[in-house]
Amino acid sequence: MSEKIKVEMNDWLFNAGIIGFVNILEHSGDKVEKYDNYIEFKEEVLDDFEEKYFKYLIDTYEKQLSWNKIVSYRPIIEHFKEEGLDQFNKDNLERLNSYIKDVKYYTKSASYKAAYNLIESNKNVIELSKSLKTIKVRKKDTIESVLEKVNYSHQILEEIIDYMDNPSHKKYLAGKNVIYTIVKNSWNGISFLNPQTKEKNIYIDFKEYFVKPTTEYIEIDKSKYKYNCFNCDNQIKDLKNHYGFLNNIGFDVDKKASHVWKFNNDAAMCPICKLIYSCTPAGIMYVYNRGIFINDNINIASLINTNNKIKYEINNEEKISSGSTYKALMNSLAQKYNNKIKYEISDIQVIRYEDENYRFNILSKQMLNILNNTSEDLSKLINSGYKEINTYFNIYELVIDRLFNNQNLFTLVHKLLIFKLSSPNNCRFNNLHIKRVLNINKKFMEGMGFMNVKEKDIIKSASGSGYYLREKYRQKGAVDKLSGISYRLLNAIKTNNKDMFMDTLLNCYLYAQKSVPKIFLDALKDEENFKNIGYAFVTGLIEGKENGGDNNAK
Amino acid sequence: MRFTVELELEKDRISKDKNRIILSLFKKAFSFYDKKYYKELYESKENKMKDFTFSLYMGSCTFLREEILIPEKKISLNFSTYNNKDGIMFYNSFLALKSKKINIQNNTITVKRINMVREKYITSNEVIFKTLSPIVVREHYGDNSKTWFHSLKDKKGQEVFKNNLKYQLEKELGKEALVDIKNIEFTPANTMKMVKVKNYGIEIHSNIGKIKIKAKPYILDCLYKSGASSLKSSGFGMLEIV
Ligand SMILES: [Zn+2]
Repeated sequence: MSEKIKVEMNDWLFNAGIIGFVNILEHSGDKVEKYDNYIEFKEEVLDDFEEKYFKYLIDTYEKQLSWNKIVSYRPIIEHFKEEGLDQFNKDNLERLNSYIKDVKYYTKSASYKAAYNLIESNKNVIELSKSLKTIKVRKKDTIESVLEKVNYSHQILEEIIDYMDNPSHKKYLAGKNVIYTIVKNSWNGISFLNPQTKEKNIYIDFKEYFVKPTTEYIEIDKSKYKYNCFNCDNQIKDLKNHYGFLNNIGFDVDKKASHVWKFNNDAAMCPICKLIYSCTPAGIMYVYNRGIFINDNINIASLINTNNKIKYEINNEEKISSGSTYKALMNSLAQKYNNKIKYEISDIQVIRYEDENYRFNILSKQMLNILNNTSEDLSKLINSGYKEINTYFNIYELVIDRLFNNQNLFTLVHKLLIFKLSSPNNCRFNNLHIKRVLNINKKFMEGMGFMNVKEKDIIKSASGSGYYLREKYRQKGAVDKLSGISYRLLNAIKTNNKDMFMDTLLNCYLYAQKSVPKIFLDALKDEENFKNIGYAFVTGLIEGKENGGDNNAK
Repeated sequence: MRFTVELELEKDRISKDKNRIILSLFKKAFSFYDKKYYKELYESKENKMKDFTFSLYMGSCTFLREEILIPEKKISLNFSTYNNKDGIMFYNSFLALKSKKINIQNNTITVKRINMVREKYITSNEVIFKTLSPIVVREHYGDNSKTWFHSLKDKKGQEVFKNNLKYQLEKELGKEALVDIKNIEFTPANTMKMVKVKNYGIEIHSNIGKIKIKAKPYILDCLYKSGASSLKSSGFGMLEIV
């Protein structure tokens, strides 16, 4: 029997490939031996590897596939089959119509058509879906008038679902899905992602392109080969297998030099490494076109553990959205943090795939501490956001993004306050959310040593002052004046103009005939205190408490 | 920050040593509102220099032999500071005192309205100032026995004034400003004159009128806000931009 094959950890992308490889095999019940910085496996596990590859990807990403959109309607049809259409109402019809549109759209798309050709069946799905039509109720008519059509649609749809759901069909349909929604994020242009590929069967294509060369390579005598794999240094015959198929190998700060090398023509890899790289979609966790990977490379076990936590978190979301990656990442980091004794925590490299690019962050021990200390405030921001020129921004993500890059949150707070003043209708957040952001920022600045830790809760105290001043203005029937004042204060904070700020502030208190709270004396000390106190004050001043509590406090 | 506070008197006469009365009022206000701040200002170090100044406006008053007659029984107290903390403390302290009757000497003072005065923004390198309270040009040596008060119109006086400014501005703006402080130039108007002001029992010779000062805007801003030269926190050297 052949000896075991050993694969060692390397840079983050290869590590993602190793994790993917292990996930794929273990999902099918194969054994991989895991050591600190390498894995070992027997050649036999590569038998039917293409089946295992797709099975893992389909099972892991099923919720994100259009295939799932089609078959997940089945319970609804079954419900009406059992209960009859007596209770079928307008909402049901609306849902049915939008579903019909989806089905018609997907079933005639190129990737579905390509899959039909691989399936042995006399059913013509395209014809079936052509016969489907959205159902309209004429103004004068009642819903009863269309129930027959509904019934007919249900029958057709059930036929289509049966077709899609058949395991020997699913492997191709969902397989095609997974290629275009997931695999394409990692690599492209070769094997089943080569538009010119001669082999139409994605399974055979993968086997021929990746698996077979690997087993051949394992068996063959390599001692006369004169080149070396750039990744693992094993001898290779030629330089055909270059790195070009890997998407946007971003410049990882630490490994910059080696990546530059990989773009050179003489950088090529062995078939084993190539197979491992092909498994990156099973190692990086993707949600549609976003991906996340934590290169927690102390050892293979912790690498797997940390990243599978992300996978678990995402797949347990009720509704997966691209924002799920952030939440899952934070939860995974939190778990990691809590499982360790403080001194064991070390820097972690986080890789995010967004807008077709990899982003790298090294989270220091200090930053992990901060993230842990702010997790409660952070979690309350998950559903908050704002719309700007038709794009929705999630505050939770914006905050995390800045923290990962070691940036303070003042410009974000400024933006939120200006937004609240100028276009409140586009704001899905209130002053309590801004206070949370300020709290996080304060902890960040203290944690990074930019600010002394104070006993006093300056955010609470300053925003409270804003609130009470607003109350006073309300009593005087002058709330309208506050928006102009807020703009002026924000401008003063942004430009770090304490004189302008204090001048405006004193005028307000003079108008209210109230004394200036002593918290503002702290604001005079330094820029950090000034900004924290200033922004917190305006936060209270803009909205007061009348807009209710934390929407996400639940 | 600049404020004007309206003070109401019970009787129409006050002592000529009026700054002394106002200083008692300051001390009462500050100690009433914040003892710690009061001690910082008046007890921690003798003659601690303060970043504020004040002046009084007494309407159509008449100076008698020992007293000043103020028929309207109203005094406007103008206060100005270069330091935002002092501004906040002044405002809060006087607000706390508002409408309370304060007995000082043989009179009773009530704090009425407090107004904030919009400050002018200095952008040029040259400003003509007008004194709101007289400028004191004081030369004195270690022990208080030898003190001279100079006129801004003679050479010696101008030299002393420059030293006074240097001493004051270095404290207020820090050593970084020294080069700019050295380059200050000034020209007193011909109409400037000497007046005698009673201060804590002694007669002080001081200067009123207009003076042109050339310096970097931030230096002019500091003089404008915190006052110029000696004894400014006792009611001398408050300036207004003409
Ligand atoms: Zn290799």
